[in-house]
Amino acid sequence: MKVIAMVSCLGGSGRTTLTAALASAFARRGRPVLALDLDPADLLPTYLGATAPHDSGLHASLVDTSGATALNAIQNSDGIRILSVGNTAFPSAPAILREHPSRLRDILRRLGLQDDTVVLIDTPRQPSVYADQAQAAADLSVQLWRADVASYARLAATLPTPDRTLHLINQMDPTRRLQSDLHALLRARLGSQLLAPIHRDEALCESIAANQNPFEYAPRSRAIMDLEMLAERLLQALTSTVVPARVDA
Amino acid sequence: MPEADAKTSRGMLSQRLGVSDPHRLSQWLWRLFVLPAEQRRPLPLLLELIWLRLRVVLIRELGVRKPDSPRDWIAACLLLRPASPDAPTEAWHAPLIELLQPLWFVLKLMWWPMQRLSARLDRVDYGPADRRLESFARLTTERYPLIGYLMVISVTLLLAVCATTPLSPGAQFALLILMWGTTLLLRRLPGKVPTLIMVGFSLVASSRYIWWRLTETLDLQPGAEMVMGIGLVLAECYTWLVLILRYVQDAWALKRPVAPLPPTPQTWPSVDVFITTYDEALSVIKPTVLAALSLDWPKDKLNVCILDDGRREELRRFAESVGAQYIIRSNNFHAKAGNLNHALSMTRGDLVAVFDCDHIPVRSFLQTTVGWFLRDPKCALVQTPHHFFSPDPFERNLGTFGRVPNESALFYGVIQDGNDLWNATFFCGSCAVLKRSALEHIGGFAVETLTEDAHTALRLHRHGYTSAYVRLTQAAGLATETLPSHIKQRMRWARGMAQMFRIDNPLFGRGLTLLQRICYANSMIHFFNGLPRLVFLSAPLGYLFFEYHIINAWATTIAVYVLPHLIQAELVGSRIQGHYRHSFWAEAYESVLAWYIAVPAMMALINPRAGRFNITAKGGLIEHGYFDWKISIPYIVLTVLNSAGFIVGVGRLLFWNTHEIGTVLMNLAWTAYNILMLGAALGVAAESRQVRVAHRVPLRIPATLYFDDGRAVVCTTSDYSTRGLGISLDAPLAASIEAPVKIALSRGDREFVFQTTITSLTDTRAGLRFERLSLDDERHLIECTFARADAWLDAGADTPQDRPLASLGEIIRFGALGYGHLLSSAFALLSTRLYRLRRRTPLTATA
Repeated sequence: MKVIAMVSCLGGSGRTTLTAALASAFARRGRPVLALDLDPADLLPTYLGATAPHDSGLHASLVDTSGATALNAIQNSDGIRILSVGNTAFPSAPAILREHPSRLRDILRRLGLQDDTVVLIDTPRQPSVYADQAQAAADLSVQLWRADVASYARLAATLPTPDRTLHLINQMDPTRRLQSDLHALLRARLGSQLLAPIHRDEALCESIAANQNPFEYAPRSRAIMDLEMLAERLLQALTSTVVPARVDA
Repeated sequence: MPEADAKTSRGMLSQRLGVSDPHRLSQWLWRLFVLPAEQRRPLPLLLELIWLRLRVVLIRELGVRKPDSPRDWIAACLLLRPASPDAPTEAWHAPLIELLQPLWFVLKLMWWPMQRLSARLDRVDYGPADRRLESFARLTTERYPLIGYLMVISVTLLLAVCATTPLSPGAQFALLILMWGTTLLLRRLPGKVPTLIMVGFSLVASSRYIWWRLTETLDLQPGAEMVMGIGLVLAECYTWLVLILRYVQDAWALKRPVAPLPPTPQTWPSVDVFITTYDEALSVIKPTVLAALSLDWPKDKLNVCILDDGRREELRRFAESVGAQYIIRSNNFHAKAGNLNHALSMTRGDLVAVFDCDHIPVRSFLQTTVGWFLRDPKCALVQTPHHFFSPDPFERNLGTFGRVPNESALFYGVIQDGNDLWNATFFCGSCAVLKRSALEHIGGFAVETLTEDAHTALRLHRHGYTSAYVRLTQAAGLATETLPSHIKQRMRWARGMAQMFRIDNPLFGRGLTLLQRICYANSMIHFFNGLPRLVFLSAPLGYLFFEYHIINAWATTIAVYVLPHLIQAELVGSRIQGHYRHSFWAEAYESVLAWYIAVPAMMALINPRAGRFNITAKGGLIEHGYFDWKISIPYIVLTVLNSAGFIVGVGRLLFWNTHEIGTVLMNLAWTAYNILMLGAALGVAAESRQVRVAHRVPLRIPATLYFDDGRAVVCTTSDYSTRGLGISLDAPLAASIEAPVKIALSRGDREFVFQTTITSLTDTRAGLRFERLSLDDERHLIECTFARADAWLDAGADTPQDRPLASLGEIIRFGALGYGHLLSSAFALLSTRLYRLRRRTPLTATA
């Protein structure tokens, strides 16, 4: 089981879109995929094809200290299993999760997933206890940025912990001069931790709107090619020693 | 009385040849090919058997009734066969197989040992032998030069013995077969040892020929025959000399690697890049300057200078806007050399890189060349090849671009690399780096000759500096556009080289090694090929028209001497230069230029300071294909003479000179070859249509199309030019012609986007035209295309290897095409003239 958390401190950076697309990319490569939606906005199941709300019991399970709550995943036509926190309010959740930082990790471990399963976690915007849970559970976090001034300012203010984190620029638009320049700046700053960017491409949004697998909807579109490469790169990072495996405290 | 004589001699001849009725031409023609029955020689047994079998099968299959009557055979062959109800109903090819089986068996039997031998040869690893040779060569040149000298002396002596030993024609024929057979075997083997053996064979064959020609074939009775005979033998001596010098020059290419630079850029030398221009358009200069500005070199150590002898305001503004230095002078003394010398006085960099204004450097140019200056402190020059991404007149008019190596390929592929072994690589005017201190030491670029580049290098060598040749294409440019401008350029070279030969002859004067002298001398002597080529193109006419025997020997004897000379040289040429010059093309190139460079080279040799020779260059747009009558006059004259000679020769063969058929045949073959070469030359003179557009260069790199509606589609480029891009698509594109689209190309990690319009679109390909490129965009475009470090790395890699016979076939084809062009142009010209003549009368009447 390999766990990847998609995190970002910016709103609208495309966490959910990329989580869904990456889930499809890994599924296409024949890997069992579990997509976890920790964002109370509850969009990931929709992005992956769910047409009706569904309570999987994940939120309850996170809050339930006894660990007895049953989980109930749904599966889409590509074989991707989905668990989401849903939009049921649990006011006590933040406090409990702060107290038990490895709660999600324990839940995932108890699931007894196959070794080659890839778990992708969509998170709410940072700072968030859910995002912290995800990062604590993850073998690898992907920090999303945009090639804009806000990203650069945030990155300058708080450089995240370097290990187990790779950085990714989403919605890159090379037709904008400023974006190209900021991309160069971010690359200079982050070096090898910066992944090749995902380009802005209408095809990705269109495929979600059409409720289709993006890799079948527009196979020759730029963002899809970027995602293919990103998936390969992440699989490589998960197996190589460049990104150290998680050490239990 | 003479009539009676003719009659009796004809009677005797008809008797000897077995012509039954001397008054019938058909009988004579028949006897030309078929011997009379009583003179027929018996066939070897095997052939007799095969022939009998063939005859039987043919008689049966064709239904020949009277096998002894030729008429019946012809009728049978034309399928006028009698109906035969009882014809055998076998498959049609059964008799053929039956017929060929013994032949096939014999062939297989003969081929088997050859196959075994070649399979055995293919299994041998030739690497060790080559390495041993290489280490031995190093040993003799570096540690024990005495052994080297001894070897050179003994080889020369041996060669002299081999060349001067008299042999009977039969023995000489045996030598021919032996050398030819061995060479055919040797040329299959890789490595330098077989090459050297083949060179040895060629030297023996050619030297034997020349020795024989000089000692046994000269008729020294004063008269026209003597003059022409000596002219021919001198031309042959010239080719022999050039051949020998060329072997010294080419047999061993140095293949110098790139010298890496130290990892500390602060220690790298500073470089001034000189881009010389006189009247070229800004659109030509711009890419070169932009590429020079983006060379990978520390920015504080790179100074790009535009040396404008045209003193144009437009260029000054451009230089200012991109940050290049703009240098002009008050006069144009000494043309390019003077321009460079003036710029030397205005700048201060450690090194000087020189580019013609249409040679676009790639970004790695300095990093691949400058290393040698640091490794070898005496190094004053590093030269790289000139590469042309547009076709020259030969390639365009014959349609050989990318298939047949062009004229300069041999020089930059083999000769300069061979020169480099002897530290004799010379400066070629562009795409090179020179050391300022060395230039100042010799007093700047040489201004005395028209080829200031080679002359400057000669001076550097005389002063003990070394040069280096890095055979990596690090720049590319435009080839000459039309045949007149091409010829003009070659005339300038020929004139300049001849001037140097007179003013500053490399064979004399101090400071050079023997081999440097040889290499320089050969490069100069090469430009005197015009006159000998003209001699070869007209030599057989002396016999055909006037019956001058300018080679005083029997045709068969000539053949056994001249054939090994030609065959061996051609085979060695094909092996050493096969990738850079296809067989027989040298003759084609020389035939085109011969007339034009013969005169200036000779004039410059007689008076090196005489005035300029110029012909007007047309240039510009070639909207319709046309035939350049003016420039092809010499070829047409030669062609007419050779064709007339050929016709006369056929007459000699049939009627007038039947006593020396061999001589006639030899001269006929020679003329036929000349006619072919001249045909190819005429083909080059037929300028094919060329609208002057930006030339497209093939390039396959990934790219992305960005549409205004937010879609981004991946594609691959197929070619580019300064005006547009061609792309290939994996899937049909949802777009329309004239739609705007942005295309992103990447250079390293960075993507650059260019605004374009779709100009053509199919399911798999699209053409894009650049729109509104700013100066920055243009710079980025150059960086993504022409200036890529790998832009020309595999340039010429897909030119096919030489196959001598195929190459000859191609020349023959071009010869035929050339005559086609000539005839159709002549008809067109005539009909327009006639039309005008006919029109003139009524026109004047109405006026």
